[in-house]
Amino acid sequence: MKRICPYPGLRPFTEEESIFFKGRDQHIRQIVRLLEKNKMAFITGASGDGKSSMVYAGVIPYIRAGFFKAKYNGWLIVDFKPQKNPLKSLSDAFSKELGIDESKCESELYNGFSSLVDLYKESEYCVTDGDDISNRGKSLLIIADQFEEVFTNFENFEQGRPSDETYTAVNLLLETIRISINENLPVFVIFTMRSDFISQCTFFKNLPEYIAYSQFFVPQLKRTEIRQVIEEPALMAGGKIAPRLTDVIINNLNSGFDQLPVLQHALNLLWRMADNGEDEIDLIHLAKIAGIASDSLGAEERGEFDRWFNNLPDYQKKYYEKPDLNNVLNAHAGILYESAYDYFMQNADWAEKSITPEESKEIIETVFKCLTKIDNNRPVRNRCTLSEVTGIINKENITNATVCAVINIFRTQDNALVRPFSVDGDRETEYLSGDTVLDVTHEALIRNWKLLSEWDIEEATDMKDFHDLNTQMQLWVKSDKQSEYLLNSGSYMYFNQWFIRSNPNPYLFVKYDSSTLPQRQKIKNAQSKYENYVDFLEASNAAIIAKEQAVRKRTRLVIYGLLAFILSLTGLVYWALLEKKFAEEQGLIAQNRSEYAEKQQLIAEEARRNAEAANEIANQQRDTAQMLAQRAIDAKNESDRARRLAERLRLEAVSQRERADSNFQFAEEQRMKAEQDRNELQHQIALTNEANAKSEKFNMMAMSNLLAMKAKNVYDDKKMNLRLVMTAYKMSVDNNVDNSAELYDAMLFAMEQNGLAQPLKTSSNKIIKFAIDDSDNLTCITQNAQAYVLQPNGGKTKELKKITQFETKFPIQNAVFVDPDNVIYTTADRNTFHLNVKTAERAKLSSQGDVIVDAASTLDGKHIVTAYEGGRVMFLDSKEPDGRVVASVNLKTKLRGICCSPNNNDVYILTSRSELYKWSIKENRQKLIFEQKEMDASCIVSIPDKRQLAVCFSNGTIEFVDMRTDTQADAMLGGHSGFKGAVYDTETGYLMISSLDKRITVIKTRSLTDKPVVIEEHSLNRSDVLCVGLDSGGLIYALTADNAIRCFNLDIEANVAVISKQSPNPLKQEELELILGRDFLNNL
Amino acid sequence: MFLNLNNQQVKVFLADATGDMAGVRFRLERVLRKACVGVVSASERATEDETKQLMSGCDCSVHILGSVDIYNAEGSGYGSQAGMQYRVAREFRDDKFKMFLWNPTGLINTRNTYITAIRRDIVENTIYSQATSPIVFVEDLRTIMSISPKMKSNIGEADIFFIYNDADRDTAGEVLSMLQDIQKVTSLGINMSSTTSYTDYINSQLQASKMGVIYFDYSLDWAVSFARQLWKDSGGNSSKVPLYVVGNEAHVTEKDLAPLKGFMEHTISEKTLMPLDIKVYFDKQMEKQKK
Repeated sequence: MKRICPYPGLRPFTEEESIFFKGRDQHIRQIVRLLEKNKMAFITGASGDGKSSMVYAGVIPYIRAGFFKAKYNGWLIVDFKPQKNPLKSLSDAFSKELGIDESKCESELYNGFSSLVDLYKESEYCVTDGDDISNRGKSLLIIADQFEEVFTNFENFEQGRPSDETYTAVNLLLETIRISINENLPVFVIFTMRSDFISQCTFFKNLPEYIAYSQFFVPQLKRTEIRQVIEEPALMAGGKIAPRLTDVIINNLNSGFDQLPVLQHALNLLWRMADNGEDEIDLIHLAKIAGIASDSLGAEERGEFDRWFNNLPDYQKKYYEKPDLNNVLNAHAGILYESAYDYFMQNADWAEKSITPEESKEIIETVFKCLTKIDNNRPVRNRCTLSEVTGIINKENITNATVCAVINIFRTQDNALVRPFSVDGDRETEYLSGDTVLDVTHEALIRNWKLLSEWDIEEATDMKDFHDLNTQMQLWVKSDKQSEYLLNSGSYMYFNQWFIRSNPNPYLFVKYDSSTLPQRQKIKNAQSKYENYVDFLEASNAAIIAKEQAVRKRTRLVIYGLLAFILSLTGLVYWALLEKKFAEEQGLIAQNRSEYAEKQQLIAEEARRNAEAANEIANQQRDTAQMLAQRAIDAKNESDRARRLAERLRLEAVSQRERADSNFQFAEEQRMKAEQDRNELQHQIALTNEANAKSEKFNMMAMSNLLAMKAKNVYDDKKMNLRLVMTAYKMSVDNNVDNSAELYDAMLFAMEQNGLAQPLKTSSNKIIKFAIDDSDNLTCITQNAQAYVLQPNGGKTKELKKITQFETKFPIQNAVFVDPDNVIYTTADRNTFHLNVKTAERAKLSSQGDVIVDAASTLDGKHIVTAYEGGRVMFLDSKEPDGRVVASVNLKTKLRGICCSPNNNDVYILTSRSELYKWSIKENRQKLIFEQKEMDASCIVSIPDKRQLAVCFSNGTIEFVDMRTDTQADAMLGGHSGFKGAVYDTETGYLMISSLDKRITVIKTRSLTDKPVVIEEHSLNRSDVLCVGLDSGGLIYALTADNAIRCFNLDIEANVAVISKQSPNPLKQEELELILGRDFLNNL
Repeated sequence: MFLNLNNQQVKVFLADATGDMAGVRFRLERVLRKACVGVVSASERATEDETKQLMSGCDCSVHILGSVDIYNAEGSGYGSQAGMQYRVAREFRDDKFKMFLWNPTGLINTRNTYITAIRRDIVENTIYSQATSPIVFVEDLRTIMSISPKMKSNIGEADIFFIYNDADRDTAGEVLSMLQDIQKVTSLGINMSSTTSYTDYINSQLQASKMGVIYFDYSLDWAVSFARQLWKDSGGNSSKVPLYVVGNEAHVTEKDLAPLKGFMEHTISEKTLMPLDIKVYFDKQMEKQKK
């Protein structure tokens, strides 16, 4: 079943359709309250804002449903439109509703004042006694709809004042209200009127007062209410509208004029486009009624739209060029206009089909021109009967039936642009009688259908021409039709053209007749007037022709006279004939010129008229231009003002932003500062804590050191040394204080005092050097060329075991171990040998009488480098050290030492002049790395794992040189006196240096910041240290000048373990106080 | 009340805007505050969770659409704060949280084509506006968000809400009495000359009932108009509460009810059978609703 369309389109909602009238609920209640309180409501508002709908579909159903509190339950609704005779319209409606005789009612009401109330009171509906009054009686509601028709129909006015009938009608309504108020009758009156006519209400006495008493100005719908208008009727009718469509419609809807008619019309079309609400109404349907551009659709919908659009006839497509919600009505009416002929041919069997498509369009144009007019520059509706329209068309083949059938397409229920509406297939409604009044459904059609607007403008121009012609004609008639008042040729041509174009007839003149005469009289007058127009034009034409004929006649007479003159002078000489011929030619030329001049005159006249018309147009355009210019100036001023405002706002915004930036910057700086302060404070606290901890630590360290120092004194009770040392040690451990060198030294001293650190037993022969092998055995070489091995077993074995002895005449002056198995020595006779102590193989080297100072093996073991005191350095093959000198160099200065580069190709040489050279074997070239003139260099040692070498100086300074870059890597003060020799242990990274002040300093090269461990001279029997070595267990062996080898354990824990076996008692508090002093302890 | 003087304050989450709309946003914020609308904004570095928390305290959000895209048709927001907040609000919107999209230029051109996509995605509780004036936009927002306090009446749940004209009270009483034996019924007799305003009560009670019945005997004119008005006020075909018009055959003919044909169910029967008719129709409707 086809769903009921809930949108009425351009026409107002009827009472039947009230169920779909939404968005005005609040306003309806407001009007009802006004009625309840004041007995009347004067509803005003803009055109097209739904005043009539609000009454018919809002107020009436509301009160019928029982929500209006009145005396009686039932209602009499008397509604009328003033039209061209308000009193008659009121009377007709009243008599019909109350069932009173029409003529009686009219004659009664003609008396005005209480007449209407009296008729009501006399009727059966005004019940005052008996039972069940409320059900028997009926309240009366009078509705004067479109009250502005009182003013728009000039028939309602006579000589600028309201006609008697008009005045009486208004008087009746106002008096009815007054009496109803006074007597509290259930009688109520509603007026609806366009607000732009409100000033004209002053034509009627008291009307303004009543308006002021109970006026309701229809408010513009709010967004939420428009949404209700759009969505709720569809829902109530079982359909649905997509929210996005609602949104587009709301945003595209112009506010003010024609808002609701345009909306309702579009919704009506949308509903039908969506298969009468079967589909969800969406953007694509809006596109199909030319209300939105197709590019607003999604891809899929757009494809569907394009397919649909391509099937449209070409004449329809042009209406989709500028899609917009306000274009929907234009497109709809335009398409109907174009397709009316086809509709006409396919329908209305009762009409004769003898017209052409062009005639069909002419009929429609004439109909709409008749149904509209320009009133005070406003296009307004103008009701006409079908016969009037047919009369104006004035063609034999076009009858009322033809006109009716052609415009039927505009009257169908679906299109509903012209009243009365028809029902498809219902001949009774399709066919109209000649006296049927036609009317456009809503003036919004006039304003939105572009073609109709153009027709209206054309019509207005025609009307002006008609008035001009009428003025001319009236002068002619008033002068008893004297020829002087006829039109000249130019005016005649202009008006004659208008006459032909407009094809006027008496009905057209009636349309322009503003008199208040009855229609019949108007037609009669128009007939007479039409004849006058025809006579006037014909007489003008005749006069113009007669004038032209007179001119021609005079010309002919002149020619004849000339001919006579020529004949009488035939005897004249030959030249006279020539003159005659010439004169004839001149005459012809003159005639031509005369005709030409006349034509020119006509053209000039035409041009003058055109110029006047152009001038008129120009004036209009000038006015328009001035108006536009003024608007432009206004717009510019507005724009300037807006620009200034925007500039001011911008500057203000910039200023605020700058201030905000500045504040932010300041805040940021403050925050940073605070952050810094906080960090600083935390740092200070940390430093303080650290300092406190350090201080505590230092105190403990100081006490420990002090105890250690005390432990280095000689006591009667040797165990006291051990007790002091252990107490110092315990203190350092308990307080997590690093064991100091002082403690270590004191420990060695205490152990020595208690016989816990005896030197190893040595040979009676003077040992010159020793070396420690991988098994921690010491290989020693003596001055008398004997080699011994000492297997100390951690210091437990103290006997030396001779392993090699070889023949030599002279004692050994100096020896250098290349490794534990190979030694190079120089004897007192200045011969130098290479000796393998295990195999006892010996080879003499080419020393050239010089004493060996240092020797080293390259890391790959392939070569041996020897350095001699006189300055020579030799690079030898390790397999044949005695035979093959790979390279040699002589620096001719005393050498201190050498070491090999890890790349096996370079040798660093240290001279007594504190020069360090790098000797490149391959290139056999020396490069000076540095020269320290201020200090004496004493020895050099390689630190291969760090790719460094250490150069020791006589003032205790040690410089570390990076062998990859040959630059200084580090430097430190390793002692207080000059160094004698240095040994590096690659496993531990310890650099052991013996110094002139009879000490051994152990430097941890992998942590140079650690304090070096120092073995003091008292632990070395105050003897010079000749040779130092470190075994894999961390034991230092030192050969001293007293020909003893001493062993020291660098691991303090191991020493503690040795001491602990002696079970020394820890010091008591009183002993501590005695040793350290009570004050000292208290101050800690 | 004709003028809306309801001052209940609305709280708006004013979303971040892209750079080109910063000035507009600044102005809008001022206008909103002048309109007594509470404004909540997120900080520049607000996370998604923080944004959700702020939105949960608001009634709606406002998003300004400029020439820089903040959203794409595939449904994801861009990396900007404005994009993130748009996406969060989109997930957030429901009957209690509306989403306002404002295009202050009033135009859609090649620079802001993404707005077309956004408009195609508009669903319930989303309001797009291209009002060029912030005043107009805020007026609309305030109107849409205004909540009028409802009068509370003595409403009770019922199977059937039985309405009749007081003029028919005698027969209505008989029907009602029988009907109350088989269903839970609430009734209302309308007295036309009473000063009582029934409108709000009827609509509220109808919503609390499973079905509405309009009974009439002599009051045909009233019944037809009343039924139509009630059908309209309760949402017509979209209403969840069906309406049933029943007339006493003693004084009514089928033709009298022609104005109801096509959209309202009605019947004419003898008054003793009427409760049964109503019961049958009620059961049918309940069955239909279950499906």
